[in-house]
Amino acid sequence: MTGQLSGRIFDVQRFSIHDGPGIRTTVFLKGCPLRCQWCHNPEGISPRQQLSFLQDKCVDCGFCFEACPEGAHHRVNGQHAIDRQACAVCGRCTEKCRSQGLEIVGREATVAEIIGEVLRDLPFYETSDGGMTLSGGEPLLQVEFCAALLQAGREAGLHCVVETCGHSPWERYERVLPWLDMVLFDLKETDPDRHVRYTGVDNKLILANLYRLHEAGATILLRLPIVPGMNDRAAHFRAIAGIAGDLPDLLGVEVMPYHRLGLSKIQRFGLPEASQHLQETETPDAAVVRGWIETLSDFGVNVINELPGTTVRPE
Amino acid sequence: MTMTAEHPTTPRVQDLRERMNGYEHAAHRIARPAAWSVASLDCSLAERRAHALHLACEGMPIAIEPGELIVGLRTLLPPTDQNGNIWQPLLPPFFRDDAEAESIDKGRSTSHNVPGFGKLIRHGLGELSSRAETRKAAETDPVKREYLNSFTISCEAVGVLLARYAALADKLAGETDDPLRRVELERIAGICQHLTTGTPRDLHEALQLYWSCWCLIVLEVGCLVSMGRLDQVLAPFWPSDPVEADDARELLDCFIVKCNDQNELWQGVSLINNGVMLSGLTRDGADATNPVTWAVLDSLERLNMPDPQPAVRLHDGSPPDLIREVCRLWRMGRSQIAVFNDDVFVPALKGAGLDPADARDYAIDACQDVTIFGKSDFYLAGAVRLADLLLQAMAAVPDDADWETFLSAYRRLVADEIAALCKRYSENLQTRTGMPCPLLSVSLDDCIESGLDLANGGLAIRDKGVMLAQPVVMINSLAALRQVVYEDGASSLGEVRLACEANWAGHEDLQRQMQAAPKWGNDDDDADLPGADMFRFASEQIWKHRMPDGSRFLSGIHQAHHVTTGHGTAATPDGRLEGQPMSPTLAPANGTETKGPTAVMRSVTKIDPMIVQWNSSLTMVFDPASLGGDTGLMKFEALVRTWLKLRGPQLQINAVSGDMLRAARQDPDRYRDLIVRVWGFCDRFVSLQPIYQDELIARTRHGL
Repeated sequence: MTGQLSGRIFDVQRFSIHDGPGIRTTVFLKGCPLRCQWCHNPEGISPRQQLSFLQDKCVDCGFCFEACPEGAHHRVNGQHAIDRQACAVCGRCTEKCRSQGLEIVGREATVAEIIGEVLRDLPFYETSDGGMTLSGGEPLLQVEFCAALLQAGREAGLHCVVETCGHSPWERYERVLPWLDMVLFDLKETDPDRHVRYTGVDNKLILANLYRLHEAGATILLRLPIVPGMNDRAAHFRAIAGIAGDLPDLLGVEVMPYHRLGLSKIQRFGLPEASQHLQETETPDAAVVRGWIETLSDFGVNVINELPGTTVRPE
Repeated sequence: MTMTAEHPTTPRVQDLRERMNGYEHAAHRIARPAAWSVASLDCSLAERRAHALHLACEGMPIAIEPGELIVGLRTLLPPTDQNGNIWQPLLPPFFRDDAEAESIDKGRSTSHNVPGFGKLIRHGLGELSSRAETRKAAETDPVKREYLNSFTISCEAVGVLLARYAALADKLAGETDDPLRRVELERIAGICQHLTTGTPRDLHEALQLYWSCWCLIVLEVGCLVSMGRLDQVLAPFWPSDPVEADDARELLDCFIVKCNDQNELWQGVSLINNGVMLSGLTRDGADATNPVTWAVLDSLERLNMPDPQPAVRLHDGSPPDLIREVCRLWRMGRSQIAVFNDDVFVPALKGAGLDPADARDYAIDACQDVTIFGKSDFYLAGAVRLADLLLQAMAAVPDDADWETFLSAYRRLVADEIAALCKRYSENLQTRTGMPCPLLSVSLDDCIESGLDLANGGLAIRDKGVMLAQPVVMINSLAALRQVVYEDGASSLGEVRLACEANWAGHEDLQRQMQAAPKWGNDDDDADLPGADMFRFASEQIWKHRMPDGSRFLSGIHQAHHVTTGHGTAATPDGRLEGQPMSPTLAPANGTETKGPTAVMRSVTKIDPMIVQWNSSLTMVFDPASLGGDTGLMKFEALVRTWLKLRGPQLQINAVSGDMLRAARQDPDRYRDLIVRVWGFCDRFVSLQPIYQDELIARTRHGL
């Protein structure tokens, strides 16, 4: 029974409106083969469960100290801290937390469970031409789980989208293609060396998959995370234009401006610190983003972003 | 603010708006002179009330501001207003003595009123006055003759004030050097003179009579008067010629600016809170959208003032453009707008037994409670405090009882409370006289016809609303008890009771368990269904009872004053601390909603829509930045459409971010135009009491 097949997810986000058409529910799957320096969902990188600690919520009740069998909760300069090496992610502290500051992120869920939750918003998808999006992490790391979710989604009449980093063996794309209405294909960097530096892997497989998906007739939206000082170069934009030129059926290109959400998550999950450059990089303002979009457009790329500041009437 | 709407705001209106926002006109207000009194007049209370209005109309200061086209303003303050008590009568003393004052039921009619402006404007004061006289001539019952006489006196009182304005306009016309203004003032003089007895013949006259009667009904009842179905009343007067429509728009703007003439009173909280109903269904079931609907929304976009507060009625057949326009205005921060779902309220009112045409003709009062426009006064038989009753049930049920036993004990308490409330209200009707409101009565069916005041049996529809209060605390408490005590067996009812009594001190583990139980607003049936069942049960109890004349009690879910009500409520089994604020009506408790707006809407729409006769609402907060672009607007619109399709009742949207609100607190002067929805009412954020500012800031979490 595919419905009983389970996978590891870290969130089911209802009213997701930035991951495909209409109002959607996005299922975030855990685990990712890339290590993008600017990752905004770092809890999606590890395939394992993780302990989230929100310092702001901590009321310093101290019950987690007593609950922890490993002694992972301790104080540094009087402040509550977690020894991530010692933490066995057993979750006992989260049961005692007074303030919902501690939480285990990542859980096993069955296809039936998830589809059941996704279908709760069916009326909203119907009104908005929305549906379900699988994201992550890299959802295709759990390809059988993905295939089962997509199949069940399609059977329930849902518009199905997968967001992928592109770095999966082709067979996995082949496996899910029959149920895919759209692919959100993330392309981080066109320069191979920089791609390795920024994400930890080479982009050859990624580009090959992009071309093969196009050839296979997939509806593709190319998404470009753009990080100031890293990949906001004209050369990258020109290379994107070249790729887009090769792929006439591409739905379009969407610029995903860098934001600093990932930095706060690094602290929440006790992950390795971000680079000096990223720590000093501000979220680009509307004028900067507009500049990127215009440059890409000048190179002939069909950018689907609405120009910031043009449609919301200013106060 | 920028004036970027389709139709530009004229310099005249811009100037009037600026001066209104500066409250310059407030300089004309005086404390009601102590010497004014009608207490010793040898006539009935109703007649004395009418005479009191007449006296005020003869003596109150009048003023016409530069550039005004619609004239008149409230110039009286209560004489002893040190405590900011808005319930002080504005009229000169009219009670014969203390004994009479105590014998009168003052709450039955004198707040949250929606006068029958349709009738006033269709017929004019002279015709209504002579109708009352004719009716009196044929009447033998002395009490009815007194009421009918009070109706005539109050019509004449409005005429007296209008005649004074006519004279003032004439005088100013003679004094001005500006030939254009002279023509305007002469026109105003003619209009006011005509309206003393005449029927409005054009939009200017209709707006002037609307405004003058509204002002004087505020004087008569003291506060909280709403304007009803403004677009329906004004539609016959709206010009079809586009050139004339520009003039019409300016007149409407002048009228809308006027509606803010009392905003500085009562600590900056609008005690007017003027709910204006737009669009919806006509009495015969067609779509009621007309050019005035659009003009009022256009005016709101450009002027952005706290009053009036348009409530847009939408239904299955509403123009798609209208829904989009509402969403666009919401996104730009026009929180004054509420949306009412006709596909909920109309069937619910019909289900209660109201005539279908009347059900389609509902409007709202100041707290967005439903009433039938021109025919009823549904506010209010009383409130049932559901969370307080739950605490009582906990004290009454033994620890070894099961969930069903507990639930039936709670139900019994709720049923008894409702029975007692309805009985009390009915007895009051028989034993006490309601406070007569002659001018308000003139406007409402069938007061003239029956020869009775609205508060004393004169209305065509005499039903009253019953408020189911503390709804979300009840739902969450019920869910927590069921989960922790009756399913997990992790605690006993007695322990939870003791913990609540101790305000959770020493029971923190239990508090955490109760907080971790399912919560309303997450589309979780375990939280939602017991609460929804409880509303259904309570409503059925409400519908069982009748007034002595057979009139009905209507049910509604409502939690106004949510912060202060929370302050006065003990610790509750949902893990809430004593005094902690509640949420407005059906909005999830602060900090408990984790699944976003679609889940909140799913929770709310699990409540049987037939319950929603008198009130029910969901207030949501969105960050406008996340609604950007045409795509953002389309998705937002789809959300609202789905809400309507799922038969969600009333929706109120605040498009504000936490950053915006915090900045407004730091720099109030820069954010004077930031208007937010609080519960039934809206106000400038910077004018709100800090406790309500805090509560709203805590609520700014939805990202669209």
